[in-house]
Amino acid sequence: MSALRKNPTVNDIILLTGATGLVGRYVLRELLRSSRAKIAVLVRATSEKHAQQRIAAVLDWLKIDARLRQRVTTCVGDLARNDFGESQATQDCLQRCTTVVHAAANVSFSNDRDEELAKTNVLGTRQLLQQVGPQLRHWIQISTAYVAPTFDDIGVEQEAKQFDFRNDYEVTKAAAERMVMAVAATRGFALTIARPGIVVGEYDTGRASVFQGFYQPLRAVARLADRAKKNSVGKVRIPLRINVSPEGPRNLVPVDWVARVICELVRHGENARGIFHLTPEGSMQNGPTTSRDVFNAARSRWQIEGMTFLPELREKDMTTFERGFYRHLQQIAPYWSGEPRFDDRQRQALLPHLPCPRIDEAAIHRLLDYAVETKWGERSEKIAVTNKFAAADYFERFLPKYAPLSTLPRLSNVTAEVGFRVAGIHRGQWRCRLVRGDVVAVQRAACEGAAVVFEADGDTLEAIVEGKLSPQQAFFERRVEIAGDIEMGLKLAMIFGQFIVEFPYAAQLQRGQTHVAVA
Amino acid sequence: MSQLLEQNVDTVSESVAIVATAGNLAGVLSYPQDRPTIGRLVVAGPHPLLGGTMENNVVRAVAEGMAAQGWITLRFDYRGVGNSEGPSMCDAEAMQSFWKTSEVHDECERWTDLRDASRWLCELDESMQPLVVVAYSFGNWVLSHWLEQNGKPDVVVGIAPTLDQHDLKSLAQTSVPKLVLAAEADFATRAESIQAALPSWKNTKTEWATDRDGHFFRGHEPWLCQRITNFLSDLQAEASP
Repeated sequence: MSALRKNPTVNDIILLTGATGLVGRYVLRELLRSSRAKIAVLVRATSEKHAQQRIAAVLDWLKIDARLRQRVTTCVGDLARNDFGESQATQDCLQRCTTVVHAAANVSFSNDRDEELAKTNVLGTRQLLQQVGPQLRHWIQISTAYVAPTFDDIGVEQEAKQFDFRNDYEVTKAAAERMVMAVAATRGFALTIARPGIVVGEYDTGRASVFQGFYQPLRAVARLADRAKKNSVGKVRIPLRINVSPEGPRNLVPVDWVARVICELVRHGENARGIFHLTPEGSMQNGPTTSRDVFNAARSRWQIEGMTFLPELREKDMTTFERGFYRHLQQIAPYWSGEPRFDDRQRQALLPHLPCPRIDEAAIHRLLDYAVETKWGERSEKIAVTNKFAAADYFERFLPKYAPLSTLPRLSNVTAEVGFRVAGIHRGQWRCRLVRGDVVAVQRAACEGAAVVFEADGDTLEAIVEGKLSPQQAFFERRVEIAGDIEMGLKLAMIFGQFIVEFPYAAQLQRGQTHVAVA
Repeated sequence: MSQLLEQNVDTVSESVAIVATAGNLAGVLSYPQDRPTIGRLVVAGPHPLLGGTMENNVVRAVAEGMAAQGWITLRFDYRGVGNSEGPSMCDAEAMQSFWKTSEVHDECERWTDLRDASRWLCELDESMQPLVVVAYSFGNWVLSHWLEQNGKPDVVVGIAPTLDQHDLKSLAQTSVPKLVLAAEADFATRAESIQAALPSWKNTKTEWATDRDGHFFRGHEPWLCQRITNFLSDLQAEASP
């Protein structure tokens, strides 16, 4: 047995592939934050300069500071090409790396791309296995839960053996798993296979760099809602019957959690040998996300009426309108009609301190808010970063979570309803219920009837909660309006201002704590 | 030690440190660029727990606006506010007290800050020109305390005096010329309180601000400067032989 150390040290090199993808970039961030090792990122590019530009863009997107960036080495290499790894710098990294996190993959669900899928997912993996040097101690293969063998409709953390996969993507991912297992057995390095469920944006902010899979039907709904005419109460009617069971599970996992689990698996080294499902926990309170959660969020997000569930709806009974909708979902059809549950006991046993957060309706709202703000990824990343702040996240998660930790709200001993009306890109209304100074509930609701209502645009709110502008100064500059009881409003602004000093939103982000994952 | 903050066609602003008994106070001095000053003016701001800093819209606008009219003006942060030395009011006990009573136990001590700021300005500018104190909101109480302690400004201006909150007896009784700019729909003071009290105030001219954002004057700051300028011009005219 080789003398495996658990946590990679400053002398180790972790080779990461797929760093420009959704999962890969968050793994890069977590590796930089949670380990001291050097990170070599293998990236497709036309030149070293081009590679560095691509990685610099990712690091900018992640808001990685200059100090951490010093630990990143960029290597040019296209796993799908025969001449992969011919540059000296890339060869050096391949020869010296002690850990490989192989996240690069072609994730197309299209069945007419079998060659491309095989090239990247199978041949690319083989090339990488052939090129890595003798220093390699631990290989983490990022796969997918959907290659898991299923028993009684439960996917288990075992070798991918079956052949009735849903598409070529799964076929190639399973083949790659088997290949790495065979090589690991021969060469003696520790192998970890990490199988995430359906990866979505960050839990706290909804931030993501790609909007496929889970997002596709919602984008189709959004398109319909945008085109529909609003009625007198601002609602749109979409006569759409959703042909899935409302209680069917959706194995949604936030990308920041997936990255944290992967980095913990890296840290565990040889102790993390095996197959691990990064999926919603069977024991999760309220169960995993359901189709009902997803479409309820869509209904309220776009104020939709007329969208109902009809699992038994057959194609011949569909309206032309419905056929048009479902045509957009052909690629994800194998996952649309129903998903298995996944057994994740091995992962839970090894990492009991990292439970999977449930993607509930509020979290789906955050995912949708971010997707819409970035026009489903069409808007430039620079703008996406600028718009990282989410009022919903602040009011629905941050405030209820941190207000009880502060003694400040209790100073008032006030029992009242306080409203927040936000205009602009983060628009929405939230209502905060204070009972004897305790924040007992914050929810999305109209502000009418609240004792005090604060009104601001999203940029002002962001500046306030990040501690860049005091609430009172914002009021004096007419960037905040107070309706209702002005005196109470000014005094609440005083307490809120001090609460922000104690719990600034931006500082929480910069500390990279688990509760807020905006980079 | 001062630092040039801003220089435009009319005025210059410098950040200054005012030596005071409570410790150094942060202030901003503003004055006309290329002409002699016509007087000295200090602004006393609102309550520190209600956003009372020298960046408050009224405080800043009066200081800068009057500098553009030819006055050398000083605005400052009370002790413990911004970069001013001294204990902050933002502790739990003070905030709890303020929530219940709109007062903090030693808040009236800020009168020495006003005294020290005025003294500092007079030592800087020994022109013997008149010293005007413009007090806004809680600043009226601070001014009243200073007057009680023999403070001797030549003219005072009270903007939105907090009659329902504070005892402004000394401000009412001082015989120095006074302008009161009272706000209608003022959350801090009922109009009837002002109407009842002001007739007994000595040597006082009152102007009502109607539809000017109540206590806050947001967007109506130039109107304040105009009223103060007119009042001071009238006084000067009366004093001229």
